[in-house]
Amino acid sequence: MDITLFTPEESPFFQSTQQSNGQAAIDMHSNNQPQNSHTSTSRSSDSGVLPSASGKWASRLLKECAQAISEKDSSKIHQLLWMLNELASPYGDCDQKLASYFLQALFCKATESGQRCYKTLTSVAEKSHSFDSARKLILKFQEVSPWMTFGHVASNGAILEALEGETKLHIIDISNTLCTQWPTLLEALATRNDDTPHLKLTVVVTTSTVKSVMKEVGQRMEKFARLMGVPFEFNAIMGLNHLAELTKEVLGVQEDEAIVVNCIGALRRVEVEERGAVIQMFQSLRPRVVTIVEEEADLSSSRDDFVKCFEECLRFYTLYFEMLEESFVPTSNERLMLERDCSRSIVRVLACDDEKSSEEDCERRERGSQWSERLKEAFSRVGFSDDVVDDVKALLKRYKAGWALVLPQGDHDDSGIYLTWKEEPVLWASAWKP
Amino acid sequence: MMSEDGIPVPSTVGGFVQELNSNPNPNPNSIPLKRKRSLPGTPDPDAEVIALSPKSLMATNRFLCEICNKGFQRDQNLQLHRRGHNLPWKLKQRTNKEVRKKVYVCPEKSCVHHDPSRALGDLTGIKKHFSRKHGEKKWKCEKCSKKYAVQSDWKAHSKICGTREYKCDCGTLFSRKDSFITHRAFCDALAEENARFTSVSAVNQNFKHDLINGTISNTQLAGIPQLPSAFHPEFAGSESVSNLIADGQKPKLPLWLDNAAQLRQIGITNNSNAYLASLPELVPNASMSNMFGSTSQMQWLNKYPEASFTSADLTISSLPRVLKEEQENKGNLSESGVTLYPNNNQNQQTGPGHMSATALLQKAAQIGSTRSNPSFNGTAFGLMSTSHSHVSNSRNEVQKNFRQQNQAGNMNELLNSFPSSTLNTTVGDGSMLVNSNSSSFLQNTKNLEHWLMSNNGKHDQHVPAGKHHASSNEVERSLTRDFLGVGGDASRPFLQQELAKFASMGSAMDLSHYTSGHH
Repeated sequence: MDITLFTPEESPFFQSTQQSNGQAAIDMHSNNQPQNSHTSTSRSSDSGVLPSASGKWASRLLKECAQAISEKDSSKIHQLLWMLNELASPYGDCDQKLASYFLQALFCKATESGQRCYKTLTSVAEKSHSFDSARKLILKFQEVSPWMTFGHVASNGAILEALEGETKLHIIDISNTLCTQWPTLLEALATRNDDTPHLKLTVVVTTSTVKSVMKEVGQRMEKFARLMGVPFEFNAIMGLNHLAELTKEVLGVQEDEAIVVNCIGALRRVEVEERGAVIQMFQSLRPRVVTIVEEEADLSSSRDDFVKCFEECLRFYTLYFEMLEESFVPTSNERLMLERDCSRSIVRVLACDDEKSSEEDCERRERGSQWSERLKEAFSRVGFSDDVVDDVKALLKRYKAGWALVLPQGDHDDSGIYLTWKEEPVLWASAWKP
Repeated sequence: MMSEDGIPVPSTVGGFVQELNSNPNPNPNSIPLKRKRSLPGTPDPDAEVIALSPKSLMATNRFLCEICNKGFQRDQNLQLHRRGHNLPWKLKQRTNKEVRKKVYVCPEKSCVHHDPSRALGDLTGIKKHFSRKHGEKKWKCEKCSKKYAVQSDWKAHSKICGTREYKCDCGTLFSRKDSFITHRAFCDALAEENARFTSVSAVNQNFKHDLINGTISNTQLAGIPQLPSAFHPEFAGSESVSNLIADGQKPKLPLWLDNAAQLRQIGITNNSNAYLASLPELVPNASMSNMFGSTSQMQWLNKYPEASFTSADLTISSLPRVLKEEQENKGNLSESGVTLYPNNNQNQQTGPGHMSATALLQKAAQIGSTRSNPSFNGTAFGLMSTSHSHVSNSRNEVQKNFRQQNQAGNMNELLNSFPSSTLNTTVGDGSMLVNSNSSSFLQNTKNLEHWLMSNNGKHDQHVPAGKHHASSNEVERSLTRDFLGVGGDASRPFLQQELAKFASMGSAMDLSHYTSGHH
């Protein structure tokens, strides 16, 4: 093995940054030992002079590289990129995976090729997605992790309570969940009491990969609603480039309907400057309740500071990847696909800053408190009732350990409820009324 | 008949009647004092109707001790207590006055049981009814958050909550209701059209009711068995199935074919089971089996209890065309089915009644075998299994090559060698580059290419032909793309510079071959 490459004294370049890189180099090796056999065998070091593992080599290297990029220190950039490339693998352990996907973004940032890379990734993804693969992926994910179902249960609970007694419901679903949220709602509507209301579901699709499968999804929903005995109507709005362009007419909103706006993971895709407009648009629809679910990360306030943004992005995705690793079986293909889906998002956030895209795919997340500030302009918060909270808790019990529900503290119940993974908040769910 | 001491002892039915002459209950009763339940819906016309207010109805301690005001639920308990006060206690004896039967009405005016003709005969019963229907639900199940007003209901539920398994038509088992529902909505075995066939008008079952209570009696199933025989002509008329039965040679359905052949080998004699058996693993199969009615389905389930999720997965993901065809077939069958069941309005959209059959089948399935025997998951996992040894080998190669630092070619060559050929490998292939004379940079960047092509990953059965540029690095199929994921067309000045930098990174790294400009 080429341990010689990493020993500081042999390389002139290392000398300038000997402290950090040399140390990092040594640490890298040590960390490769205990990990998955399929890659670590190749990295089994001959050197033997390594100090004990000190954990997250990927995060260290990546942050250094990000720092180097922001300082435009090209020699260091090269060095680190090269090192990361050596060690990264999308099939390895968490560190290796993170290294792999973030390396791609860093490289694109350094070479200013983010937009092109993103386009390529997107088109590749589009080609490979089909209804069956998407369905399988989503259902499996929901089975092993409450990442999606948390938001579904909380939102459905809020919706049912807000629309109690209504006979004509119109739910505007702005999400990419392939309508997996709605079967349980349909069942609840059917069984809740004897007079089942009429439900109209209008799905607004924002990602391109989902558009192609929506037709099939719609058919399934219609069938299922028939099965449940719920009068149902389905519409899908695709090809919309900007959410703010939605109007009552486009959505088919009728006067006698009780409107619900359900927004799962979609607000973050709106360009930061347009978010206020989108919220105004929601208000114009005069909904009874607006349910928002978003991932908890702040990638928008730091968007002018590359390193900060990078660190936050890395923090979030580290949690996410770790969660995926622990939730799925090691050989899971679904997990691999979810990880790959992240790569696009990461490239978009880190390497595509100044470029306006035709679609809304900005992916700049904000924290719950930040969204709350925006939403307060037009709405006031509706707390989740005890029943809904109990439902969420019961949901979390059905999954592996590590998940918890955190309720807002104190009187300034300004935010919603948080899903935490190993005590780190990862998702935020809230409900709003005009 | 009176005994000698004048105390009437009812000993016969006649005597009984004499004692309680207002009770039309015909049950002959050898235990004279025991009250029997009336038949439901047959209230005693002469019974005394008691209407308690909600407060007194729900009062738990109606019997009060006059001395200390302690409350008791039963008179007997109060009497026992009174003995403690040295008071004479009054044993409530059966008096020889006629004891009129008491019936109770619900105090809630809007309730059906408010009317004396729908009164309930049991005080405890009316209390529970009032709680359930009009009371506050104070008891909540921990697992599923379901609420109950009556504690005994809650207890009973808690015992069985989580132990019940839900079974989809496709054979998959679920312990959680919500994941079952979501799966069901997207399952290819969504048997809605088929439900029309099997919903017999005699079975008047509320689907919602079923779903909540999960009670289904076998009598309902009994109404269905005529279906299979009645069905055969219709079924045989449909294209694909008849082809299957005949020779299974239908070109569009290769897998079905195989299964049919396999199962014939197993020697399935029962004709109806043959239909079912010929499609054991296939998701659409379930829908067909539904048409044969639940009894057949139960048989089928017993025979082929492989309810493994993986087999369902395998079928779902690998037979998109087959499934589509199944959809069409279902369409065909539904039309032909109308003649059999003219009652079923195909356009019927609302109302729980006509959906009952699915519920029936569901329940039947639950009552039936719930074994899950994942005997077919070999192939499924085969698709997903990783063979990482290749990866590690290749990496070893990489390192070696890198070390040796041959003139593997210049950077130009490298970049040219990443045409847009798709990354064929996935984990399953293990076909990572095992390169003999590659440039190390190519090897090292294979991961970089991975990202770019990653989404094709495993589904990549279509490696585009002609994208395989010849290069010194040519290895099998898993060539990689250009470092940036595009076919190396743009000029990126930085890259050139960067390559130069790489070149100067140090002799130990021996990157001399990177010096040339790129394409």
